[in-house]
Amino acid sequence: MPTIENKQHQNLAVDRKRFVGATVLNLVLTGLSFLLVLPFLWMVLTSFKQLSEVGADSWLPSEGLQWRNYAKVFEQVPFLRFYWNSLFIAACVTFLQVFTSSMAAFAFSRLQWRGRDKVFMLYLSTMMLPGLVMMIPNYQIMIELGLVDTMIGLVIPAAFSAFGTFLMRQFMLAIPSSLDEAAQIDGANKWRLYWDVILPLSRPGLVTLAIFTFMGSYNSFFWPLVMVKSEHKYTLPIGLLYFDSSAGQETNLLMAAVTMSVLPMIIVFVVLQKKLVAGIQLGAVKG
Amino acid sequence: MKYLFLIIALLLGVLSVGTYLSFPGIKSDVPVIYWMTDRNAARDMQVEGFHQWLVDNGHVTDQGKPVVELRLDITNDDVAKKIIQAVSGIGSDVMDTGGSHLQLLQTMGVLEDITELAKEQGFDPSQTYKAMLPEITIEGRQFVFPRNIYVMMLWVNKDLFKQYGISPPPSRWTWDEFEAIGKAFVAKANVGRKPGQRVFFVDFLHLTQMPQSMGLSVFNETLTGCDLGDARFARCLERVRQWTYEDHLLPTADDMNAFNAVEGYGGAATQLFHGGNFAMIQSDLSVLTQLRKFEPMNLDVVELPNGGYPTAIMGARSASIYAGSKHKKLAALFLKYLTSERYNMQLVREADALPPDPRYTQTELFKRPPDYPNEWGVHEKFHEVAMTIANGYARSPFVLSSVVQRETSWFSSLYDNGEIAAMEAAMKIAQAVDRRIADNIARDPKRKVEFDRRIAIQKQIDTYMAAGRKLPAAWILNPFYLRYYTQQGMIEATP
Amino acid sequence: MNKCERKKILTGLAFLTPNILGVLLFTIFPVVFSLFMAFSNWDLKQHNRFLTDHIQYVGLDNIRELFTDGRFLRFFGNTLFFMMGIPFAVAGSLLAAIMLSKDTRGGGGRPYRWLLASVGLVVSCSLLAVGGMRSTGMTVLMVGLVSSILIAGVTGGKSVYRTLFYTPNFVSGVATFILWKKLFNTQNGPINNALQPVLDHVASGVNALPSPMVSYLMWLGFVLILLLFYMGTGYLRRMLVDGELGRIAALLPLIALCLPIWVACRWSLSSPHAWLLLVGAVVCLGLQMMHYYKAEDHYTARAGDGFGSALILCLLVMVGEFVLLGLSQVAWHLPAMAADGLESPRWLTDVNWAKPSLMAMGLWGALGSNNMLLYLAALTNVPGELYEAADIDGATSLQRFWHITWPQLAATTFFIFVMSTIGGLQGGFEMARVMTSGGPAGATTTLSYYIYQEGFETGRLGFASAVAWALFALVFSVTLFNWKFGNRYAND
Repeated sequence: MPTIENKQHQNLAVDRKRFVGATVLNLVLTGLSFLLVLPFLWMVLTSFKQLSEVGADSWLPSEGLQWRNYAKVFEQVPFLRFYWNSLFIAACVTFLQVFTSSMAAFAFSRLQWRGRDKVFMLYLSTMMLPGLVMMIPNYQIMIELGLVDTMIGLVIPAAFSAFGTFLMRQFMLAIPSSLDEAAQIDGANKWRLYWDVILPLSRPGLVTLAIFTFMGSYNSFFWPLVMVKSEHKYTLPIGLLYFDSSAGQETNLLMAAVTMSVLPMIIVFVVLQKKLVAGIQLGAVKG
Repeated sequence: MKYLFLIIALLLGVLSVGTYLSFPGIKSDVPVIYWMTDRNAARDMQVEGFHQWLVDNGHVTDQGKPVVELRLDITNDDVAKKIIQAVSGIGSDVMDTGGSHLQLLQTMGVLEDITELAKEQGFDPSQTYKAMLPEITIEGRQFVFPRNIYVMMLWVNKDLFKQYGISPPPSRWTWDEFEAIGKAFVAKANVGRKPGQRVFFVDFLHLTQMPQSMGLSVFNETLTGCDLGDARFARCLERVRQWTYEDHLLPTADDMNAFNAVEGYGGAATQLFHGGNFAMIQSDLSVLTQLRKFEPMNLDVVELPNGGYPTAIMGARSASIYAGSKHKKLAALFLKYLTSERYNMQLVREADALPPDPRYTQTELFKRPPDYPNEWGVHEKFHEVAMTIANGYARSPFVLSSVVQRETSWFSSLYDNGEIAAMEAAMKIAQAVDRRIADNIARDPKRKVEFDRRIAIQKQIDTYMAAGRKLPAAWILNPFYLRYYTQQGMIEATP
Repeated sequence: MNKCERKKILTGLAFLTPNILGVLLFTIFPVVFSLFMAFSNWDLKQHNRFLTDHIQYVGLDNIRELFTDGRFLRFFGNTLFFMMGIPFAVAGSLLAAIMLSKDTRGGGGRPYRWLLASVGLVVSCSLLAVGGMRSTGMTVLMVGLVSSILIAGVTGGKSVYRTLFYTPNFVSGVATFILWKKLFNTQNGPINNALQPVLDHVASGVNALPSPMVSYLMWLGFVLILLLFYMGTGYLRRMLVDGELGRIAALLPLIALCLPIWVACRWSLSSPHAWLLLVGAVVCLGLQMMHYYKAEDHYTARAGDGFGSALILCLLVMVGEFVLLGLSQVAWHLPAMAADGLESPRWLTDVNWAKPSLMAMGLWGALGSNNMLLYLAALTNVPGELYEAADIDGATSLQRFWHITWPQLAATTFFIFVMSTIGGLQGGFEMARVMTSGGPAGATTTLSYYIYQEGFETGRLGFASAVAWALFALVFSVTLFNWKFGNRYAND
């Protein structure tokens, strides 16, 4: 090319600088991902081992991939039933909690009323007591309500949380208050303000809360353990106990079962974290 | 967003109806009792067997169905679940309660006293091993019946000894013999081995059996104080530390972590035993349920090494009836089932443990399981030891065993870390346990009367012992000491 | 109360209703219940529906026992020690979130260049691995893993990295714990494999030098500590002069700055010259006082103003001072220690190293934790125009972070700190139980584990409740403190 414009030249320099920066970033991220992904890799590889080689030095299954392990999981326990129970309960809990928490958070962040912060502090403080000492009174309530050994008993107590309210409140606080005023001028009532303005704007918060709640409910172990008696209401974490019984721990089957049980979580995460990205455009619009 | 919410709400509503409809019919015409246990294939068969047994023995309804339906409630070892459910009044009708759980739950009063019921129905302590009496009864009352019985012994990998040219251990041996053979073994076996591939002589040794084999129990004769503050226990600690950190006969926690094996029920040790990393492992018959899944190996069992007085630890995995159960009579049927031939023979087939009824160890199936010729000769040794030298754990009514265990591991790990001397550790354990006992008595004054009575006896025992006089048998409430003193001729002949 | 205000309260409560009903039923009642129990002798071994004893109120007996038993204080100390990792964990998750929100493609739409570069890297790495190291299955596996992550990351962009970062949350605890146990292994764990040669070299190097040489490094450490101290106090002085900081509010930050000096003097037994630090510190303070009174125009501030920012800065300086102090102690003792060779620590089984080891594990977990996700979500909420404006002003990236990102994240940071405090004080249960079962000698037993032991292993729920409420009081005051003095953006 006979002439190179100065501007283009500058662009190239910026480009090169960015390229170097991004290369370093990629390398660092790869290194960290490597460290973080190791347990997952170990889990998946172990799920393909024979029981006798679980303790072997190498992580790789030396006797070929034991796809049978996965089939065995289904043969030995009603795995699909547990799968469904866990998914269904987690979905219900997530839905209800996102709904109730965002409403309460709205009251704690976008509305002005006397005693608001005191009530909120009270709310917050309920989280500060270790759950273990509340176990017995809580259980007593469930008995009184006749909710022991029911699915409702697993969903309802998890559907209201101070945690979710706190989380959503912090996200709603970050939304500029000029928006409220604009809506107020338009004559929108509080419900419209919540439903049409604040809720769509706090989407990253909603998504985060949804991920946390889903994962929390899906993984919860102790509450279902004390609540449920009938096998057809077991959730996955309890079902996993089958592979660690006094008849000997079958680590390979356990890992196969865990690998299968985390699949929905990974899917939920991958789908929802895309929505986190979507927040960028929102942020650009609202400012 | 609005529509998304609505759609999800509708969807979840439809799905919950669907889920509800898809529940299997669990209504039952007969009463249902729950059995809180762990879950595995054997449990399903035992439930099946129980229903069969009910039919065979005429416990049927008019339609010829079993009078009761047994269902499983899995809990594994989770004591918190047991406690929460039991004190809330909805515990499972039959509960697995072995060892320290028995003690804890019995003190809470959630276990039914089955002394009379057992006599009437025929599952009293006379139906099982004599040494099991302290594991079944508390202060003379019966609360459980054993589902199966374990005796701790050392499993020997005979091939490994042959491979390194060391003669296998004798079936009864002292600590010195153990040390000599062990040192020779690890010296031969570990030539050119890296950490993570090392070979050890045995996986671990029981800190309950060791002092017992020197004639020392955890508690004193009246179970009112801890006896571990004794030079003999300090010697046990020293020995174990020497064997672990200097002679490398036993793996350290670090050595165990160096292996890739996964912990769990007998998981790591059994895998490493099979893999040739342990010449011996300390366990009971239940190891076989795991070993049978692997390639067969040449097996033998020997007693744990002793410090002069041969002894073995014996315990039970037992079943109890929940005090709040609505179907105690039906639950009792399950305990009766544990004495039946059907149940015992099934246990023999699975080789999970010794059957509760010792008669079934005399069967051909027990001694020589047809599918497993490599186990022949092993099974009856467990029975022999159970009949001769085995002792149950010593438990005091004034302090929980779990507390004693916690204090023991606290100070012995301080000793292992080189922070305190062995004798100091032993003394501190005893002091800590004694303080716990004093706290418990102070908190529960009801028990003070009995405690003071025993303390008075204990004083007398101590003066008698100091004077070298023989003791009246009625004074000795610790079953281990009763037996030990009797064998040592330290008990007055009863007139 | 006028009509308008009442309406406002009613509207607020209307929005709260669905949540508050549930919280009242399932949380408030148990909380109140356990508060009563904390002052009772409730012991499941004596009081339940199957026994006839009645629960009695014992006043402050449980509380008294807490402070006389010694164990509570010790486990409390353990818990606090673990909590010292929280700021680092939060910083780690923030760093991870910032990296994960960056554009990994460098803005250039030329994926082929990336692909080419990474494939080249991967090939050379593999060649190096196969040729240089022992080409065992494990090496191949690890190299393969790294290269596939790199390629996937380059082609898939940041959402791949995000998912990979979050994977620890998908793994069963067993797998994580096993791997960490192996990592910390003394004999063949990767940490010690790498550390031992380094220590050997250090030992031989130190032994080769004339012995006082290394010890003199301590003086360097002391000088640096004093320098930090001078800078810290200088900062406080300037704030005071400028009226950004109230006098009462300056007290605690000042104490934080002095703490390491005081600790060093307490240690004077182990290093006989620590008193010199005190002299230096007094001189520094005197200089600052002089400057303060020499300053021309003083602005006055309210007593409690500027507390939060001064405290945060002074705490950071304090950590720095402590680190330097530790290093100079090490320098002082090194020749004696190195004489018979340095040995790498027995991480999990050593009474002194068990806690730091578990903390390191916690930091690892923090990288891909929920906090990372929260920051990620909060970062996407920062309006892009703010950055554009800053770019026009020619701000450096550090300035951009400090003046734009950090204030915008305040609400999230507040949330994370409160939740971390709660989690930190209640946590460590699983980790302690599985990794070390609370040992060695209770070195890793946290309060939550203690509550479990007392409440469910021995049935003393009254006492366990007292422990829980003691914890509660602490978390509550820390949170209140955060609330009052935390960043003002957080709570408006």
